[in-house]
Formats: sequence, structure tokens, C-alpha cells
Amino acid sequence: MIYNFYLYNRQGVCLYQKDLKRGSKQQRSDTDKLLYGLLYSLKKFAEKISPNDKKRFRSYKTATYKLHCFETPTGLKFVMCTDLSVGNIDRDLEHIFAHIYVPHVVRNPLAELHVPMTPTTTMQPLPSSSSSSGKEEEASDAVTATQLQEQQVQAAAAASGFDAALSAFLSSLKYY
Amino acid sequence: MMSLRSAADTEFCAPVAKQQQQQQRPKTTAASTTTTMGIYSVYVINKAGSLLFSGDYAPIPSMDANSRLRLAGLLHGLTTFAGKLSPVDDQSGIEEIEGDGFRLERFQPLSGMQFVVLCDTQQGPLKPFLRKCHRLYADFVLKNPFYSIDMPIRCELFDTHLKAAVEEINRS
Repeated sequence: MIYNFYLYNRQGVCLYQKDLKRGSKQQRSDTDKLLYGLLYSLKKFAEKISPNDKKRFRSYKTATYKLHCFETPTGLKFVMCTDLSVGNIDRDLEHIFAHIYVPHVVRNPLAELHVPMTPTTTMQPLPSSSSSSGKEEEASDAVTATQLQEQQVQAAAAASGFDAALSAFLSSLKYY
Repeated sequence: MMSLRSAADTEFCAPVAKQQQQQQRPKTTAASTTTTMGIYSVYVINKAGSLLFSGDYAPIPSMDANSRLRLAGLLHGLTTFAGKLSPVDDQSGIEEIEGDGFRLERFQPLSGMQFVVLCDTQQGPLKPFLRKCHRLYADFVLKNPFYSIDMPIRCELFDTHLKAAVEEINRS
């Protein structure tokens, strides 16, 4: 069973988060930040404690769940929490990177790379522009506002493309 | 006269035997570096996260005492954190960390003591071994009248028995 999925960029910004928990507890809102802190420390810990040259951290296990992490050389982190029965899923996380993230986000000129993805279902409405003094200013404001909105809509469309492809892939997995 | 002579003989023979042992030793370690090595090291951490015991049982680059202490504290912190971030209700800590070049297993009995073993990736589950470590700790550390609790472990019997237990696993 998969509990949740997170995607972080090199700066530690949570680009994407998906909760697939069925019948598990509600989590606090800042979980993604706390989890990034944990992963960062675990990475450093693995580098220090490993007695040979292979220093990469791969997964940890508690009595109730298992966390898998796959980091690309560019610093993207693909993280998945599953139950204990799941073995090594590096290949699946790599597949998400190579066959879902790259085509749907990196190769998509409309997608924004370094901001959290918001699929259309969860998009926030734009704040209405405040009144301004000059007519021209108002016009230019309106233009930028519509441009912004357009950009946002496009980015959201790209994000929902990624979201849909990811959901389809995850539900095709044996341990879903 | 006879007895003296035999004693001299054994004395004379002893260095030879020692030399043979020394000659054999590097061979076995060389062989074990080429094949799998089993257990690398064992750590005992108390419930507050300070390191009480650490031992290396394989030819691995040794760490200085300070970084060992730091890593023990870090592991203690990480494990509580991982428990807090659990997506399910039960908040127990890390039991196993897997990396590309190592595997770490951790066992925490109800007393809060933590027994940690670092091994290679091919090694099978070491829970029984960690339970044995706990038993050895209870038998040879806690029952030692000169040991005060939560202090670094310097007990010869614990060392020897732990070494024997590790070698038993590394041989199989």
C-alpha cells in the first residue's frame, strides 16, 4: 500500500505532494517541510556512516511504514511512503522521474519548474486588482493580470497532466 | 627434569604457534574483503541518545570518537522524527536504514536502550543478533558491580562475548 508521495527540488521546496492514505490519520500541514529536514539529515548520516564508497541513502523502515527516496544527480528527490511489504522500488521512482516528470514538466514549456505544482482542481483564484489612479496604469495592470492568470492556468494545466500521469502509474503498481 | 623440559618445549613452541596465527589472520581478512563481510560494527546507545559502546569488527575505515558520538545522537534524533512523521497512528522509531553500501538495523527494547548494528547489504535480518546483544548487555554489563549506569561500557566479558557472537554470524 502506498501512503504518500512527495517531490522536492534541489532547494528543498516541495514541488508536488500526493496523499493516497486510505484509513490513515490526518497529517499536519507542515509535514512536507519536516520530512525534507529528516531526509536531508538522513542523507548526511548515510554519507558519514557508510564504510565504503557507496554512500547513497535509499530507504528506512519503522515498525509501521517504509520510506523510499530516490535522488537524481540534479538534486530532485522522489519520495514515497509505503507499507512494510514493499521491497526496493528505486526503479519505479526512477520511472516516475524519466517517464513522467521529464516529459510532462521539464519538456513542457508551459510548466513552471521551481514553484510548487498546483493542478487545476486545487488552484487558488487570483486576488482582484486594487483601484489605481491613472487609466493607463489600470489598463497595464489589467494586461499583466490577464497574462499572469493565463500563465497560471497553463502551469496548472501542465501540473494536472503530471498529476494524471502519476496517478495512472501509481495505480498500475503491484503494491498500490 | 622431564617436566621442566616439556615446559621449555611448550615455551619454545608457543611463539611458533603465535606466528602461525598471525600469518593466518591477514589471510582470512583479505579473503573476507573480497567476499561479503557481514557485520561491520555494533553500537550501544542509551535512551538519551549518548553513545555507550562502539566496536568495529571488520577492516573498515575507523571513525574518531567525536564523530561516533555525533552520529549516535543524530540517529537518536532521526528515529524520533521518523516516528512523529508516520502516516499511520503508531509512532515507533526507525528499525532499519538501507543505503547502497550498508544496512543499519536498530533494536530498542522497552528500557529505551538502543542496539544498533551496521552490516553489509547482503546480510540477512539481524533482529535475533540484536536481541542477543541486549542479553549480553544485561548479563555482563548491568550485572557488573563496577559498572555505573549510563556510563561508557568498559567490560571485558561483554567485549569478548559480543566479539564471539559477531564472529559466529560473520562465519556463517
